[in-house]
Amino acid sequence: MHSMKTIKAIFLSISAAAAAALAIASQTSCVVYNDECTRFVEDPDGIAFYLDGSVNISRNEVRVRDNPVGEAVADAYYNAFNNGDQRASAAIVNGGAIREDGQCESIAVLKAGVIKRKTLRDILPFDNRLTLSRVTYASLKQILEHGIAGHSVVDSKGSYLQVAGLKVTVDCSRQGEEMNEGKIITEGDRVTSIRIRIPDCTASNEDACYGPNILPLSPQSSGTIIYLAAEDFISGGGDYFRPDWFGDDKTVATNYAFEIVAKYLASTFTKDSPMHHIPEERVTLQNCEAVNLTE
Amino acid sequence: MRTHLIQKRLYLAVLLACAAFVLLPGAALAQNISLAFSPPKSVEAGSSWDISGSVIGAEDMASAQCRYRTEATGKWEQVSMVLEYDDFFRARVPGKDIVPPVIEFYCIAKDYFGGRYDILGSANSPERLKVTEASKTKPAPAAPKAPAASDETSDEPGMTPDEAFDSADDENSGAGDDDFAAEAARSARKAMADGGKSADENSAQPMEIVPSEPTGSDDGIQSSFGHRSAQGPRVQEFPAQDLAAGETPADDEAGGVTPPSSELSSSKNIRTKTQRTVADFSPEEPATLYGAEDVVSIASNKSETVTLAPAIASGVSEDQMRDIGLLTLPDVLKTIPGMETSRDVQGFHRVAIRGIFDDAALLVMYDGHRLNNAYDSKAMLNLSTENLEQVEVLRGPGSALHGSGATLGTINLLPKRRTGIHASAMGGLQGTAEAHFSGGVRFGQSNWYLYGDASYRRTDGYREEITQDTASETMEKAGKKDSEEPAGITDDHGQWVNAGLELRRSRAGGGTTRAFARVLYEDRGALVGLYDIVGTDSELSWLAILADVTHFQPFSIGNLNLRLFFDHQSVDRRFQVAPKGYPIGGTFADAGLFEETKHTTQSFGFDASMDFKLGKTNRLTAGITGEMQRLPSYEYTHNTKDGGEMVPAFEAPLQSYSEIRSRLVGAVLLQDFWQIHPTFSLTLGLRLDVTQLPKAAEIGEQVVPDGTRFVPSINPRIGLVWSPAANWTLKLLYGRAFRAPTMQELSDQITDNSLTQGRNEGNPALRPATIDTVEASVETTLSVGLSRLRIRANGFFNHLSDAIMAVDETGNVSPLENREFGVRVFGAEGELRFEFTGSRAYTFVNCSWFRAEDLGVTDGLQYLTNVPQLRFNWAAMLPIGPYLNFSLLAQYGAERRNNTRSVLEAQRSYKIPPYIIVGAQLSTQRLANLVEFALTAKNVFNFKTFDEVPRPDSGRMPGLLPREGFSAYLTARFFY
Repeated sequence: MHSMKTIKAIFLSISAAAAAALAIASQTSCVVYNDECTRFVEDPDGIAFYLDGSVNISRNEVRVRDNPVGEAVADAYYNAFNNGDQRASAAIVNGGAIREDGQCESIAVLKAGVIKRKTLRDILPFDNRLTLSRVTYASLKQILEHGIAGHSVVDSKGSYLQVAGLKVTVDCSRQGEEMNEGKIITEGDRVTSIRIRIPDCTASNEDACYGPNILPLSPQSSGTIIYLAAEDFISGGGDYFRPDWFGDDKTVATNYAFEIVAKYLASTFTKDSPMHHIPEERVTLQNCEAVNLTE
Repeated sequence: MRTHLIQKRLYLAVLLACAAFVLLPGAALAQNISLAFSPPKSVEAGSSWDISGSVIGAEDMASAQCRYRTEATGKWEQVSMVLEYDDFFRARVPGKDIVPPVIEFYCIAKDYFGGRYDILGSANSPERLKVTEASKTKPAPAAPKAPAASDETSDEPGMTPDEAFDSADDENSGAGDDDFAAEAARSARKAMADGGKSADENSAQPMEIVPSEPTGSDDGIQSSFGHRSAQGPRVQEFPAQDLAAGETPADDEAGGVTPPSSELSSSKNIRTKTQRTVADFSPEEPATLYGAEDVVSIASNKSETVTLAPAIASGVSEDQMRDIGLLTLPDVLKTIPGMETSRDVQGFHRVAIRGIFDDAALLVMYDGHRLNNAYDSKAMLNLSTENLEQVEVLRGPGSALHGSGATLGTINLLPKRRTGIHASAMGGLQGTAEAHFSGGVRFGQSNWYLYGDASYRRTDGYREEITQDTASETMEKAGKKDSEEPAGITDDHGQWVNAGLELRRSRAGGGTTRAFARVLYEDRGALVGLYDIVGTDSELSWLAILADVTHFQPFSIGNLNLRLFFDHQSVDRRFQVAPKGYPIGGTFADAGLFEETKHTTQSFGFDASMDFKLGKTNRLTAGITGEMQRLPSYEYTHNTKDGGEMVPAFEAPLQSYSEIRSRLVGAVLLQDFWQIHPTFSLTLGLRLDVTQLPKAAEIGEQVVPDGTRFVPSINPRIGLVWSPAANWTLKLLYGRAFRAPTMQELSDQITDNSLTQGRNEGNPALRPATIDTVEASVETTLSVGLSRLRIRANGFFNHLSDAIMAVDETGNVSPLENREFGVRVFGAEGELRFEFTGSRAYTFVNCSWFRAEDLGVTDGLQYLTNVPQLRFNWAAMLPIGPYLNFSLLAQYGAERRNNTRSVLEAQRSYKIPPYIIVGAQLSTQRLANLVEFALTAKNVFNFKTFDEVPRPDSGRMPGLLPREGFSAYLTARFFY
């Protein structure tokens, strides 16, 4: 029979051996983790674009009002389909597609200077595809009523739209769209003006490049078709945008939206011609109580 | 020059290996039948004594005899081994023949095909025990009735021991053995219950070692588990597996005594080793609880030790579960190397094997019946261990035997099946209470047995704060919640029922029929809820009914196994997906928002297989199986649009398609076990499965089922088991396994609302996932003084192809897909177990390590890290005096982090620190042969640990899922 002493000695030695093995193992490379800051992008330290001043891209900015980065992304979508037979008349991007949660650190404010590709990837993390949809004037109004003029203005919902190729005026004192989990309860009527950019316009006055207000719509004008570029997340029904507003006839771009944007920004906003930190006024909000948390 | 030297050394190594293979005599025989025998220190003169123990491979055993001799007999005498219960056999040596100074004995078994096995000692190397003088004060133990047919014969003049053995074998036709076995069992129990010590308990004197006389053939052969020197003392602790020099299996007919075949069924419902309880031994007797080799049946559909099984397998007995306080099945699984358990936000217990969580890749069986639900492949895992006799675990592919789902591993739960009564009651913290009853009875002297077990458990569960959830921000903006308040509390309340009944008929001479049924029921809260929102009003209920009829029939050419099975599962999961007062559509949902899924699944089918003995060294199994899986009803309702009445989420859900709702599965299998050499065996298996899956068609942007197709899956296995020396076993294994996409993965649809962004979506075009696994293992048993040290180590390499996973890349819908580039996992597992002879003390430590990579992800981001890559388990049991035991269980898991298979996964980062959780138990031995007590504490130091959540990012659940802290339970167990 073993004495208790012997048993204890053996227990202690086995325990010590186990503890030692554990200590050694935890200090070696037998346990590995992914690099927190490795990005899903080629050439992560490459230059994405240049910025001439600080820009706040937090949700309380991009989901509430015009934003230079948001407009630049919409411009990239607008230009993505300008090389083929079908050209975009306008483009939209939802504010929710632009993120401030960096993979390594928060990027709520972009500082002036060089913005790297890895930062751009943090800003645009979703792997969505770009679509070009045939949209009627009537549907376009509904899209803007939902995305800009609905409750999004106050609540900073991700469905708020940054636009390209459009000038829109919204009067929040008018009836706003009421929607309940995908179903429109009340049609909105806050959008008072929609002007569409004239293709290939070279007028020195930017405002002159936009056509007349298409509103109010008539039975004849309601069905006029334009080509609208948007991510498939939106045109497929995300953020409560109804798929029937975008129709069934869509062209899908070959590349992911991120690569399209990266290419456009790199070629457009160079060191000599950086992105301006103040946005263009593309959406005019009247009587809207948007909260500016950056002040 | 250097290359030449290396080559020479390599040649030398190969030559030495070959020499060891060929020349090492008496190397451990990798055989199918052995006896787990625990010798007493001595036997008392004049008292009858039983040579007894559990027979491993009992279903293959046609008969067994023990031969003994003493000064009183002069020559060898013979007694038959008879079945006492389950797989426990004994041979009674009459007291008149037991005289000082020593008794020599050995036992031989024969299988149905004439194969002969030395299961204890051998003719040339018998076991020896000291015989002490009779004690005058000791009461005579109760003697059993004499057997109807005498099984004691003496050698006829001129007969060799083998001839005498066979002669006695032929004379015992088996009549009356059932009576004898039953009566002997009753007498033995009565003797113990009366307080008189059984013949085994001759423990007054300390053990004396009897020097063995060197015999002519004693050349230092080592047995598997004992040790012997040619000159010095011999200590036989465990069954010798020596093949005595010169002894060859005799070419005689099978026949003779056939033990009652009550336990000789094969296929998935084989009864494996049943261990005697602690109370069967006096404190001074050697503990054999863990000394006998673990036995499993899931590796080859027949009982075999884990050492010799052509797989990496583990068996955890009820004694082990009781001794270290493993109260639930997840507690047990967490102690197995290579396995990890955790909870998800819905409260389900998840099991990861070798780094991968996948419910559909882990086959869970209850007494050989698949427990995985046919719709979503979840299995009810939160079961009490009171109902269980053993938990068998096979790590690695098992589809060559078990078909779809046995990809990462297979678990088989064996219910208690023994005569007598066992009852228990438990109460503990968090309002936990449990009652259990199990028992078995034989109807008179008939061959009919009835077994039953039932348990009920309830708990209020642990309560930990959830600081923030997905609804927090919305509720705060709506003025319904203060920002300082937590989002909610975990809700782990529930009640569980587990009840089973079995009727069995065993006939002497073969043939066992079993009919059994089991009901499992669970009714609980959701722990947290769906979509990372605390839903305290969630209720989940689950009912599973299993039924089987099996028949085992031995023939002269082989054994036939038949099985018919049926199961029905009903699930009702109602999740509160938004709290009371959640703003919706300009108003507030007073009761909150809900989603509810109800479904019913049914499966029914058959298995049939035949084992053939081809010559003396080859066994071939051929089988066929067919199964129909159905989804008779499916309902998915919600009120997330307006908080009102529950309405169907979809007009025509994919689950309504007939291509989804029913599935035919058929398979044929072949398995061959070839004992190429006494030290070397080869197992080859092949199973061809055909699974009915839907074809997919695109209608608009939706992919829908459109007809069905039959998808074949071919699953081979190869197992090489080599025992180059007595205490060493090496294995080299390869297997391929598959798992079909579940009905849920093919059809899942979830409502589109602000709470469900990033939801999974079913895909009717999914293909089965496959895994190829290569494993190598080494096991050795070393003697340390009088005790034993068992060491096991294995390495593995897994390659998963077409792994079915959902990776969120868009933040909207995550479609399930077959991962294009596969997943690779490799690692190692080790176990060290120390057993003290002559003491109840025991300790083991095991560890596991893996590295898993998704091959379709950029370098630097490919590691799968959401399961601890390094795990340690350490347990020890220390006796405190004659009646108390103290056990400890310490478990370590390395840090876990989020996977990074997409940008979104990388951004939703979390780090769960390493954990060390310690459990302790103070328990008693069986008091008055009737009752035991145990005080069990879990997470003694209240270590704070967490599990992952789907959305750990800000605005969702950054605080992760808190797990339970300290808990304690008091259990009383009653045995009769």
